[in-house]
Amino acid sequence: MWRKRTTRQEALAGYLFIAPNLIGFLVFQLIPIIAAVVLSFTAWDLINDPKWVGLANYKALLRDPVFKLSLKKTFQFVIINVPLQSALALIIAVLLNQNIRLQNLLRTLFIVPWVSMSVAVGLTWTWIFNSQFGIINQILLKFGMQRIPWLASQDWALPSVIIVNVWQYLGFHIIVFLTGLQLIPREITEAAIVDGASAWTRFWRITIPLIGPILFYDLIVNMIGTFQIFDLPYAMTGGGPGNATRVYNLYLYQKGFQFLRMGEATAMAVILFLLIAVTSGLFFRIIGRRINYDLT
Amino acid sequence: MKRTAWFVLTTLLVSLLFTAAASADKVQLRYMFWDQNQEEAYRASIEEFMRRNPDIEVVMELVEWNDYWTRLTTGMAARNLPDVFWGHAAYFSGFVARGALLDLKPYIERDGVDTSIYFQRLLDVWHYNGAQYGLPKDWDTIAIFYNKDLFDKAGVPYPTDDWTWNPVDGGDFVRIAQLLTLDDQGRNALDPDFDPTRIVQYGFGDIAGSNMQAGWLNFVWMNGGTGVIDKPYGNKFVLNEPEAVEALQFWSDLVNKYHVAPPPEATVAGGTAWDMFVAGHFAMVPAGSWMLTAGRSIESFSWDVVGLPWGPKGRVSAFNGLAHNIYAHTPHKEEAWRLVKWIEGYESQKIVAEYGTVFPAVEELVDVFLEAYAGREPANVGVYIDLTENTGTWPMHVNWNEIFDVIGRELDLAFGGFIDVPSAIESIESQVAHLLE
Repeated sequence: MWRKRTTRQEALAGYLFIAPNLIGFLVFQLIPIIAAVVLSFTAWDLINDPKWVGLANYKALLRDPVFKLSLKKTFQFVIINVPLQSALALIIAVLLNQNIRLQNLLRTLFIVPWVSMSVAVGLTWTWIFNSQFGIINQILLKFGMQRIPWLASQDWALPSVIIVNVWQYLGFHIIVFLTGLQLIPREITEAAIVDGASAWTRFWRITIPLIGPILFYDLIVNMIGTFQIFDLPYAMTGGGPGNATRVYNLYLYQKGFQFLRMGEATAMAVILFLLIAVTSGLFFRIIGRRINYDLT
Repeated sequence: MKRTAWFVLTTLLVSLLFTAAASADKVQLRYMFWDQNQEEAYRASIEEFMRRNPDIEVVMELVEWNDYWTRLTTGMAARNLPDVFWGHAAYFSGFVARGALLDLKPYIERDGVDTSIYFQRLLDVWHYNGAQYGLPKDWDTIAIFYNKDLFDKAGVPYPTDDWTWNPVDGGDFVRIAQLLTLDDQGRNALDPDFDPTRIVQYGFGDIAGSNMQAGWLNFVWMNGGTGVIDKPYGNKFVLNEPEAVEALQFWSDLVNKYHVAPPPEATVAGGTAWDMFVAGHFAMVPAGSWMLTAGRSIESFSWDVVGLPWGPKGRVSAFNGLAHNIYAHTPHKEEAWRLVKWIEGYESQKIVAEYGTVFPAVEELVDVFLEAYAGREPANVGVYIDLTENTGTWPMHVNWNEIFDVIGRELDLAFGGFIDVPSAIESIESQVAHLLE
């Protein structure tokens, strides 16, 4: 009797503890997600009530060249950003994990951009990248070199935005890797040193296999986040020049809020959701299975 | 998807809180506007309104231009909008066609409001399908701000109101801009050794596809072009007329041939043309009269305005103005109308004109504005009034934002020198065809 009550009380306490998170998830995520799926089958201009149109939004998107183009831009963004950012973060994390001077200061410096507002970061970088008056091009001119049309040309604009994105969120990925690195038991590393393994060998034979789960986690999170990239292109280029940086979510935002085609915008959201789900699933199947989760 | 949903929901919650705070005994009207420069003037007018209408309380909500339209659209989705808000021609056509705004015509007729006191072209902006959705609040035309110090330094006389441009050799306008464009060795754009890859100061700025109102559209008109669409809410694309293409080519030439203006990117991302003008990097920028207040805060150099240069077909300026719109689904239609009737009326426009911030839409009150303005910079403010002699108005179309997005992108590529103007126009034409139907 007494024991039973405790169990029930414990269960109740448990539910109460997860309630804030659960309620938050229901109200702010699950319900909007369901609403978005329903709305994707309607024509909705935000002003009048949504009207059921079946698959018309999806059909319209398939005929829309900018839709395909924005999808391509986002894929390019993901394919360049994810490996570059995660690899760079891993290298820096390994270096920061050594006993070097100013370790804490350096760690903080890498985290500052991550905790800064994206729009502010983006705007600052547009000044730095400005082809005519930006500091980088001013320096290039001083050294007798030509200006680089960072955000001005269709070839440079996307790489430029990716550079800023890699830089801004590097701190987050460094923290993830640092956590992983600190989980590696010291004895293993020490044993390897005693056996005469070089730093290079230790990195590939010990570090990489042992942080496998962390590496996998980081790549997945990075990929999902990058598929949803919006703020930097929005603040830096507005998708331009031309369509050079018009990524998927930027176009989605424009469709919904500027062009008042919220039905099509929600259909875009559903498609992106499915794309991310499929890509993550593939990722789990192909790489996830080979990960060694046993740290001892 | 998550971001969007979040955004809609927070807006909803915040607006619910606002509503809950409303006092019970008075009718509370929410009034949304975007220009802080005009806040003081309109506060004075609204206070007078509340004194005369003790049963109504007006709450002013200032939302910056960049967030303003998103706030309006999400507000519409949540069925929770300010009762009265500032409208702009660029967004009006989209809103009105979707039934977001209240038709004022029955109220105007019932109360016998005299609409002949307004500039007629401004009244027409708020006209749609035989209904009237706003009474004009103010107006603006386009002139050119110039930095007197940079002219003095280059020993170039200030531009005079009879200066000209043409698409063949550029005219006085280009020549003056060339004298004020300098490379890092201090050589101007007419110098044979001038290096266009190392420019540090431009004669002119604000060449961008998105700069239609203060930019390329005026030059299209001055070259004899019709504009973008054949008529308000028309369905014929006319920016492909030879006169228009020639004028747009001239704008591209300013960047790519004469090298007197930077490419679009330099003023769209990272520092607007206005910022560059204030920083002394540009000698001249085209600017609407709404920039006068901002201009008066310039302390580092002295400046003045000059009318647009005369084109082959005369001088034409964009003529635009704002109005107060009423949300179609407001529960307080009658009270909202009383506010709009007051605020656009003669007495209120006089109060606002006395602050000298925007030109009043009541023709007779322009002198009151000028009187209030006397003694302030720029000396030549009257050119904005001269420019009302020959004007063009904002292109209106229910899909305007989508059409303009395409135009802005393609023209940016052309002005940046990445594609030529005719192919940009061709591309625009094919992309907007289905939107114009």
